Amino acid sequence: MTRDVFVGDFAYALGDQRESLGSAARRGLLASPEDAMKHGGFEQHYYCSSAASAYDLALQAARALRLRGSDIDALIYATCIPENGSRCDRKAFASSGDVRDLMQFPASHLQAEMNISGPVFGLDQQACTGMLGALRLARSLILSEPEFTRILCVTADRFPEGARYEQAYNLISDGAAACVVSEQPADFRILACHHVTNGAQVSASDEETLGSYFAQTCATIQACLNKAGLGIDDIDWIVPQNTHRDAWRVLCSLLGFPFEKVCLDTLSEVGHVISADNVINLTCLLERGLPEPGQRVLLPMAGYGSNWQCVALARSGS
Amino acid sequence: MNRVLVTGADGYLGSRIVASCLADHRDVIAWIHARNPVELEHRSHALKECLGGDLECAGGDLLDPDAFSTIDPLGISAIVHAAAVTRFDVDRRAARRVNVAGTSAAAALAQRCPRLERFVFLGSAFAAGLLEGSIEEGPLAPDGFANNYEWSKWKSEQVLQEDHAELPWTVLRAATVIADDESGACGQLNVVHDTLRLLYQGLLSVIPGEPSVPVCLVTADMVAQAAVRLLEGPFVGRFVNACAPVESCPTLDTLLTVAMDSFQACPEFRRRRIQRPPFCRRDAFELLVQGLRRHGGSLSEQVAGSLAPFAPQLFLRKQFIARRVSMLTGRAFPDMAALLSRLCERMLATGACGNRAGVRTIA
Repeated sequence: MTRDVFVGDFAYALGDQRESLGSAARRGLLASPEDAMKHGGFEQHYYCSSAASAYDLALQAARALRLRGSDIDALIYATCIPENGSRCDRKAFASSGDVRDLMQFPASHLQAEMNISGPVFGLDQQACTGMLGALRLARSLILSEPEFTRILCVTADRFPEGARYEQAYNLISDGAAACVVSEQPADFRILACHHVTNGAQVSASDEETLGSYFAQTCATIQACLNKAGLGIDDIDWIVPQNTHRDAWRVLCSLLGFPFEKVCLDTLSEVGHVISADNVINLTCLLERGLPEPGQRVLLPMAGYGSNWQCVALARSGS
Repeated sequence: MNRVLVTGADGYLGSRIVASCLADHRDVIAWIHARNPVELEHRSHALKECLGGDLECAGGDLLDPDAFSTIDPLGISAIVHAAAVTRFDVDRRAARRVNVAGTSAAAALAQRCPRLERFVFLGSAFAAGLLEGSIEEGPLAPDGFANNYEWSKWKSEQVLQEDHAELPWTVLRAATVIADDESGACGQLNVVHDTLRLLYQGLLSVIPGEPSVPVCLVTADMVAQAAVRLLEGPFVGRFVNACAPVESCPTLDTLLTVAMDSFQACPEFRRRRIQRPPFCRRDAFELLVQGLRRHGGSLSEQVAGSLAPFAPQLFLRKQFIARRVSMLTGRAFPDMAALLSRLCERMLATGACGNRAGVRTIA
């Protein structure tokens, strides 16, 4: 019989600059009309000042957990934007010609900073689904290798200077999230994980992404439910990525799930924080005293690649 | 001289009606909607190139009250009024001026034709508007309409019934034309083909509609053949539903399955692993369309312009009673699911699926 694996200790960090949707529009950071974004539920977002890096966000989120490094067996560090997977110094490389300057891995830096002695796993190329990929990998490591009982999962991204802060009709925030996957009971028991990649759509336009969004999200959720031996009626909450509010109204219609049970609490405030949305919304839900013990939660995410992931959780406690 | 005047003669169905008349050795005047002499000349030339150099063409602006002033009523024995705006997203004013007033003008011409034997109005099955249940081959009284096109085709029927009851008219209500004929060839793209293109390209995120709703379809050659048979046949003052009888209509679910299966034959489609779009409720589809409209872009034009005005019909369980069209043509309707499969194969072969240019909103 498969052992239970849990996830808890959620924290997140956001870019140090906050601005309104209108300001983002005036600065040319949007592709869509401001009104359309506002109607979608977006009101403001966070971005990093020039000096702040994705690693800084990761460190901030990880530190917020107040962990002792010795209690952590491994670190999984997920990034969406490839250049956030290295703290490389291009100038140094240009001068030295030494590729070592390109391999300043943020996971290694974070491990050292957090006094973690276990190994690190860099996880990329899963786009916005990276945190869910980290949860899945952590769970599998705990189930398959006795040396791992408690794994810190981190995701951190900031958009590069000059980037548009709208992707696939969503207002983006720079941010990071952290949580711990463990064999010891924590906030949630992980019931199932499912991941679909359709590499043929790696270059999908926003319209093509939208074209596959509803069908693929429904299929991924259904596959996750099947793995967990559940139906949609067994689910109490969906804690998704912060995407256009009406997209979730449509999805709820397709899934037969009540929209009021979709936790998009932070959509207006933070927008789509790349791979951190589930953690941010879950934190918000926990602060509301929810979900109740025993209630089940789905965490679905979609990302470029194209990647689709969903994790099913059950709130711990009796 | 017994001559047949065909309006909208260079349109998709109009040109086929002209061709059928010519094949039936009838003397035809092809009336072409044109806003000026240069356009008329250009379009007449194109039609003659297509159908034969000695075809007599005339024309005018259907918005003009004197649109038919160049037609000598003495020689006209029959009129097929096929001219119309057939876009689902036509605005009310244009629908009224072109479709309703145009029908009035054609009927007024018919009144002046002393030897007139028949006035065939090429109507639309969409004149049934938001009606559900059995749609008889008789007058319609819909509660409402999904778009102005539907209203205009119903209103045109009303014009004939109320203002021209003494004319020997017949209303031929054409369903959505799926293909030119049983081969699956398609000379004009409409909402069916637009939807297939979106499906093939992976841009159709959901399908509005109830899976079990029957979809009424017809081929262009069936409509043209029925129109010609009506020129001196039965059904004066009657209505003919030109669509496959309900028992032969595939459901929306069947059509989607056939289309997805047909596209699976294409390696590129398989490679992209396009998912079958789920059926969604009307309110959810409207939310999606509103969102697309706000964000703009070509997908917005394609979905909001083409599929959206048609979508309400995909939730209505209409059962067209269609006994007369097979009597007229002497032919059974083709298997529409098999025909859709051939259509998809043709669209793949001709590259029509991959072409994202041009928004078609034709009924």
